[in-house]
Amino acid sequence: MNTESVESLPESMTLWQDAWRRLRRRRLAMVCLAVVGLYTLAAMYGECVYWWYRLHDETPPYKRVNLAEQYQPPSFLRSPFGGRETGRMSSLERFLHGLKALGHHPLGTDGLGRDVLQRVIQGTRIAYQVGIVTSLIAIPIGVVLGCLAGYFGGRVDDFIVWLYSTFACIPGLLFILAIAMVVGKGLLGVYLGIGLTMWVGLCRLIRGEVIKHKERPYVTAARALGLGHFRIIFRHILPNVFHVVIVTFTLRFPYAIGTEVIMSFLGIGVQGEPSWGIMISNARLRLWHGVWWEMAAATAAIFGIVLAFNLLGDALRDALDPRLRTGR
Amino acid sequence: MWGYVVRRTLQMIPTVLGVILITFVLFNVVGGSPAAMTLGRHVSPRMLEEFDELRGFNKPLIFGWWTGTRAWDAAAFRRGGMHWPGAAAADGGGQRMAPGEYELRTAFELLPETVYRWDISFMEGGGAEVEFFCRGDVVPAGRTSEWRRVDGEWRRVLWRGGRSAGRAKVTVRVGAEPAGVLAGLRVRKASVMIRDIRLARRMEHPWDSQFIFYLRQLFPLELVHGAGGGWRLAWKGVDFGVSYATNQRVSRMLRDGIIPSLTLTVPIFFIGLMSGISLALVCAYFRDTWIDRFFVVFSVALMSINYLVWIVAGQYLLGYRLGWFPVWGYESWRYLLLPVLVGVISGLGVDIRFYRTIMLDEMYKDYVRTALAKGVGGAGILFRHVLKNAMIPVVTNTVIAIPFLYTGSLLLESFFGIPGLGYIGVNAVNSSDVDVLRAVVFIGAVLYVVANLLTDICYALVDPRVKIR
Amino acid sequence: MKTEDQRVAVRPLLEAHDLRVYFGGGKAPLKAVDGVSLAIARGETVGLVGESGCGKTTLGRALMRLEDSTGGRIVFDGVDMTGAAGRRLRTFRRRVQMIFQDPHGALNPRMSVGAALDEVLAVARGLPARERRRRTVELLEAVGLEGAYAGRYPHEFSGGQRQRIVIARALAVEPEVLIADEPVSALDVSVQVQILNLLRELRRRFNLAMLFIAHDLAVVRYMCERIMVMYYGRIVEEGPAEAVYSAPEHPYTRALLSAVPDLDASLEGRRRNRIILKGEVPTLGERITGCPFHPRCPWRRARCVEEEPALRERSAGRRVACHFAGELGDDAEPEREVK
Repeated sequence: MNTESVESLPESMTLWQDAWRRLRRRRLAMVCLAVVGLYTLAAMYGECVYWWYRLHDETPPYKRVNLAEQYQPPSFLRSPFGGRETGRMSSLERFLHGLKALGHHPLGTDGLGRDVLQRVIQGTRIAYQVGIVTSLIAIPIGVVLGCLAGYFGGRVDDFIVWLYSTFACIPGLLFILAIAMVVGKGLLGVYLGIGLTMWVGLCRLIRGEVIKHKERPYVTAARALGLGHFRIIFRHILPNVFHVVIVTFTLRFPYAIGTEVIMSFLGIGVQGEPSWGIMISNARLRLWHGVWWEMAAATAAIFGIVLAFNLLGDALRDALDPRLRTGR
Repeated sequence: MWGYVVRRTLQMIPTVLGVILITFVLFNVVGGSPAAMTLGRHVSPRMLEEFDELRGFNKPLIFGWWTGTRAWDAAAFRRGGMHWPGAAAADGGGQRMAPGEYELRTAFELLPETVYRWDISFMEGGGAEVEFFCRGDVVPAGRTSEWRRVDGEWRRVLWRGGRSAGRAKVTVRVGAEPAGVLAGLRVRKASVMIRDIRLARRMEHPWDSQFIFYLRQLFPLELVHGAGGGWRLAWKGVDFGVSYATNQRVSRMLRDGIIPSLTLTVPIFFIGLMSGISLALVCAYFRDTWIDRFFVVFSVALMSINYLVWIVAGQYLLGYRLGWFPVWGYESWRYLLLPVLVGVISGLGVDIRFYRTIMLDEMYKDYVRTALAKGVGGAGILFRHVLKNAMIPVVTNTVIAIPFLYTGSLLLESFFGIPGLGYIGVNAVNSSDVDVLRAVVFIGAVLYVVANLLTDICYALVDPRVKIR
Repeated sequence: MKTEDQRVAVRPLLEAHDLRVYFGGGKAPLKAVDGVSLAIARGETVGLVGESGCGKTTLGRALMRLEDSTGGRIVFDGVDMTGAAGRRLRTFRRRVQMIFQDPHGALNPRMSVGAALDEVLAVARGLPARERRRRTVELLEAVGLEGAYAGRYPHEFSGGQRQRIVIARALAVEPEVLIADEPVSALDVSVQVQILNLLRELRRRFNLAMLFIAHDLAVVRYMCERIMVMYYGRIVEEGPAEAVYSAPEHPYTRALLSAVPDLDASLEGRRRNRIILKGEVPTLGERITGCPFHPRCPWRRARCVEEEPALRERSAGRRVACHFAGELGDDAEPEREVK
């Protein structure tokens, strides 16, 4: 038997490699990726700080009240290289002193003398927790229900479509607040409130994609080979629609963060931890007294990550599946 | 056409039922009675029971003969909080009771002409004998053969020690005078360990449940005996119960709240629509130039700014610093300016992006290219063809947004002090006011379903192919 | 041809009795397969010919129970498989395998060739990992590919190579029947012959029964001993390949054959014998009384409009669904009816 030659083979590249190649060409997307990476590092650092102080049973610096240092503006506004006490120093000493002063509350302190930078980092930690946990709740629900509805059709499909259209018609934020109220104030309420409402869009998208793929010959082939339904759904179809999950995750992550901020601001979100929403809520009153830096820090932190995720999500969507672009 | 409208209307029913089911599961099954949460911990059981009675929370969930009552605090018994001499709390819950007489005092009078059931779980007690007794206007119900009438009280031996564990149920019927009714246990011979004592009330009808109570609030259709004889169906007006926090009827609160909501959201809606479409048209006209690209980045940036920031910044800069607008309240039209401005700007990013996509989809269709090739001017095409054909998705998107006019903007209302439905909703969440919240959620959902129906019908009118599906 | 003569037809392996597949219920269902009976014996290759849209792909899928049948029975190796479900259905499907028209779509783009074969070997055959690796290489070599290709993804192969992979995957479950649904029509002509030769060789090696679905008569003639001609969801003519080719009895078969370039006949003779069908291929939803072919038949008589012809046995193994089979006259100028 003759063996067919290999010379006509195109360059070896999977779809993911191809998407990565396309993504890498867009400079903005790469900048966003770097920003997301920075935030991730900050969140991990915040997690370490949190656990270090928790295990040592000490009050962490972002909670430590220090009334002697309240309302300090950011260090770069406090003229670190001048000031009274630097009068008799040499210029080198003055420079080193200035550097040290720059590192001291670089973003200033709030009304209780707590370091704003530390609190922003803790806010990042909370935001990541919310984004990740809500995704861990919403993605499995959306993926499993969407796959089942799309693949089996019939009664199963009717039921799942009924379920998600029912969820979809309940006003979003109110529904989240109601879930959080029933579960109780705190992080658990935030997780469940956002997680149990966020799966709807993903479920709808996955269902549509699965319906499309169900008719593809490779699924027929898998059925002809006598493979079981669940193997076909999760081993054959799901990898082919998984880009939908990735894009949805990237676009829903900032949504979850934003919602958590609003919930915490309204007082039914995070309790007793420095979330961005709580920071804004506290800073709002101090703003009237000209203390703008706490507000600015929290706002900028939220803006940065949400913008980065939004732009990254768009770029990913274009790179992975241009057909999704019209979908809202 | 009418067939389609009817069919589509019927399709609404399962969704509305779904909303009822979800709100019921959320508030009644998962949430349970909010009495303790709203009234606080230091309130008499009688008040809690009245709270539940008014809202139907003291009924079985969906179906059942028996329901709990707050007259007997089973939790207090389990942790040994009865202050009985001769009894001591035991590890793992329950009480060890020495021989003697123990009164099972209820926190308030039981209901007259009602059947109650005591349910007692014994743990151990070799040789002990436990007798149940009750006196006052009360008679045994159920199997009466084991009861004895002695000294004006009914007695029944519940348990003779020997078995290692056991359970006994006693059913009694309270008469018309519940004031003097007293029940109790007599322990003889040896001490006994009782794990749990519960009291349940028997419903007159097993369908007299929380679910039916809720349904009857929403569909107050009742069979009434008419004046001229015969039965007729009467619509009694939807009733969403009474708000705990304000003590007003919920339906009245909603009626009062809808006008402020609309005065806020309708301007936001129209101004947002106009500015969104105009900017999208600008993008479409200048597509692939720096103007278009600027707006794309601009809209993503707008989207990424949190709603809160708009509110706080608007209040601080425009309201406080510059003093252009009043910051809080709902007294004249001037109070609406700032929230409307904030609402429009915060929604602008999403709108521009969405309408731009629609316009560009339309721009790349063959007929537009043909028109361009024939030399029809760019702006002419934009208005004569693109805008006209893009109207269908625009209208769909618009009609779907209408229900959100009703809920108002939760945040805007609560931070600018506009007493609309969003404000009511947030307050209800903060004060755990279940009835109000449930009503707001439910009506919002129903409006959404109706708007969906209208959109589909509009769509079918414009494009007859839709009907076939 | 020697090997084919040696084969002895015993009990048919795969049978269909009066099989019907209708789509969409209601008053006017789409009758994709309308009362088809067939039998394929072990080691036999049956060709199924027809224009596109005549229901032959649906028939192939229905035989594997990939399409739910509306009526009739499917019998495999003497056992009724019409209502089989769950494990029994899966086992049945593994004994009957299918090769698809579009070899690109039939392979999961996210699975390497090795993983695809490995999965089949693991799930359908339950082989241990080492055995599976060995079999994967064996199968790839059996279809003329290198074992080293196992790590590659479908998009890295050419159309012909993909079809070889599809064939290898079908063979992995060691089937007894192979349903080949236009296996070469999506391929370049030069590759077609390679694949056909491969199928012929595999058929001999594994003693496969095969249902070969195609619209290309030359390909069918090259592959099959027996031919069935399908039109409008029904079998209109059936018989040994050589007999059908040399003396077609149904007007539709004649028309089909006249369209095949015949290098033996003179140019003039070919032009004379060419039967050009009028009208469009009827869509399956259309309602036609009498013989489904009558709107396009050059020999149409009054009876054809009134009465539907049954599939009659004309001689041993030769069946035709035409009222006037054998009366049409050889190569005669068709009589045309005056409007």
